[in-house]
Amino acid sequence: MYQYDQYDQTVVDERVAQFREQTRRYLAGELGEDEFRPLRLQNGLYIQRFAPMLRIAVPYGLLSSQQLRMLAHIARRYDKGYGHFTTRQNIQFNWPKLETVPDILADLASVQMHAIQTSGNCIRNTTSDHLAGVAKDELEDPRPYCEIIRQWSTLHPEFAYLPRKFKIAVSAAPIDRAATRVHDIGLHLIENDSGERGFRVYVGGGLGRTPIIGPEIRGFLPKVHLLSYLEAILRVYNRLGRRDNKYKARIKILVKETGPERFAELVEAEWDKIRDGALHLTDEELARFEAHFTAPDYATLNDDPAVAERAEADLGFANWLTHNVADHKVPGYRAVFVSLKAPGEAPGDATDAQMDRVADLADAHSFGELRVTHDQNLLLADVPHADLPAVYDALQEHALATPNIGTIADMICCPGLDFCSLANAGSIGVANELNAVFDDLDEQYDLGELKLKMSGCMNGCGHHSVGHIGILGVDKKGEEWYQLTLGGASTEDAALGDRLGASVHRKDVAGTVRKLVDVYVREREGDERFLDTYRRIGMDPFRAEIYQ
Amino acid sequence: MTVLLRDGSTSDQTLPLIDVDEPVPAGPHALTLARWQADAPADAPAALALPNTEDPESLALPWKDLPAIWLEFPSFTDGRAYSQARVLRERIGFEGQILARGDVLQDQIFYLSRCGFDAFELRDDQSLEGCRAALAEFSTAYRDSTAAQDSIFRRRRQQGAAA
Repeated sequence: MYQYDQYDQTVVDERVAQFREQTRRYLAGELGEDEFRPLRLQNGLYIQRFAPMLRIAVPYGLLSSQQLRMLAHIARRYDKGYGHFTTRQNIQFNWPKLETVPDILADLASVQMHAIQTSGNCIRNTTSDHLAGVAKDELEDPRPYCEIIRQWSTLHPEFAYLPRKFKIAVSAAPIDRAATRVHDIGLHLIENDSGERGFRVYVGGGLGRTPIIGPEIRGFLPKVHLLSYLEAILRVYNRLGRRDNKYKARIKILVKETGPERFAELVEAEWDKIRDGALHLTDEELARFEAHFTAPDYATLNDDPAVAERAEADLGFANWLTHNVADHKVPGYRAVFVSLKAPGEAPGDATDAQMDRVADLADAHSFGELRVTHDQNLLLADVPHADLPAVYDALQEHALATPNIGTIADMICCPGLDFCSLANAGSIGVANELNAVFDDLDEQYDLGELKLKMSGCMNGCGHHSVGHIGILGVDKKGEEWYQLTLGGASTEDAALGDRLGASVHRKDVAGTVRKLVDVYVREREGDERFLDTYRRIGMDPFRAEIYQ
Repeated sequence: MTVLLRDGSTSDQTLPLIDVDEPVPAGPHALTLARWQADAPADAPAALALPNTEDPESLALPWKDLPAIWLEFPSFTDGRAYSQARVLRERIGFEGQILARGDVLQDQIFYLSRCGFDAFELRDDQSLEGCRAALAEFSTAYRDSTAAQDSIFRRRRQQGAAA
């Protein structure tokens, strides 16, 4: 993985010193609340319902075991012993004290981590495919380009006070596992007809109040122009993005109001003036970044027959093997999902002890690295097939082997009312009720891939708009109600969910989802997923079942 | 008004800014863009103030004759003038002074200076010492500044070539 050089380390160390002084001035009353707010946000620090919340960047979801141990240490020392992994591959701590945040950032800097630009109206952490580098279907590893974007965007002086936040995602496989079409910029690494590789560029996707699937604004961009083109997009946005209304300030509104074709013309005109300037990347430079992401030292391995034998005898292991283990491009290896969706636990939460244990497993079985997934799980990407039983047993011991990846129980969920000052609804509580309704593993498996995504408010942190079933908390006269949508998807066939109808009361959410699932089971043909059935039969049968 | 300059020195801002329908004084003064466009004076003013909604490249102005351009920060969170400054320096080749005015605060000075501002009309409550120190808050950056080709990318390239 990428290792900081002296320059990267200097930037991060000086950033810690800067924020330490800013925090001191704030606490001494020398810096006002309004002036401090964007500074703390651009260092990951929100003021939340009960305490500050600190969001730490995990660039494109990649962590070393040493870094994960540091996160466990932070959970123990500065928080209440756990952290929350997010849909943008970051981690949040919900209970740090403001005055300790500079120390936390210094601890992070000691392991080449930071919280720079994880919030605020600036360019956020760049996300990618959690299977990057090991997926059978990928064209090439997208992470070198993510790292180039990370460096270019870090402390970018021109784009620190944009109209609104700005998120970039990169994918290099035909199956889009990074939800690129619902990002401000989505980049697809592709090969053109003459065999040259570059990016297809989508701009203006997003979730929240106005969910939009991002339109394509350029079919092919050579790699060397990556940064100049991004800079052109950002400059057009910084100049023309709306600042009169925070709910219309995202680039998706600018693209929508301007029209994607006209917007693309504006970007191209700007890009024309800077494309051969200082941001033009060289082939040597690209090679240098790529060299940071070379394959680990794989052994020549075969699959181990003992694994199949164990699966014959142990249904729990067999289930885990089927659902939580993914194929790997190298023979004899597998990618192992570490489920952070144990029943009764908040989706995405991990304790300090769990983090330490996963770090140990990464060292013992996966070249000392792991990833955070967009679905709020962890992934050990390079596990020898023969090690699977040992990894399973260790994960099982720490409640990290719930065999539910991709099922209805593998829900995406925001922290909701329990933590967030924006939320209308206690999404974690509803998640628990849903877990209770769908607690039967055989049923979960029978239902197949079913992406259930839940947000506690319109801001859509739980990506409800692109859930096969989406659930959105709304406030009605102080009571929790929920708006359901069907048919959303964040993958290469991205779509926004359609509204089921009038919202339902909190007590009826789990029952309503039960009925929706029953309609699917009654109507499905062959091995159709819920999403496929919905697309085939439409809304009416579902609506009839709920509102008859 | 105290104006901090990029070299750490200070000066007092005394130029009056003349908008439309205001009398133009005999001595040195600054004009708003609207006033400039209304009068089209033969002699360039000592400074011209551009609203942050303008694209400098779309304006036909005698850039070489203008000693200073003033760019506006109605709020420090409105970052449009950062892009204006870079366009002035990097594309128009403006070599006069670019002054930041309005909600100009210590914690934005470093970024402003990287984007081509070299004069900062500080909000009244700002600590001059703090603002001066902020000019050198970071010793390195990933991108060139408008004043120097000093990006980390470039330094690594040079090291690669030397190695």
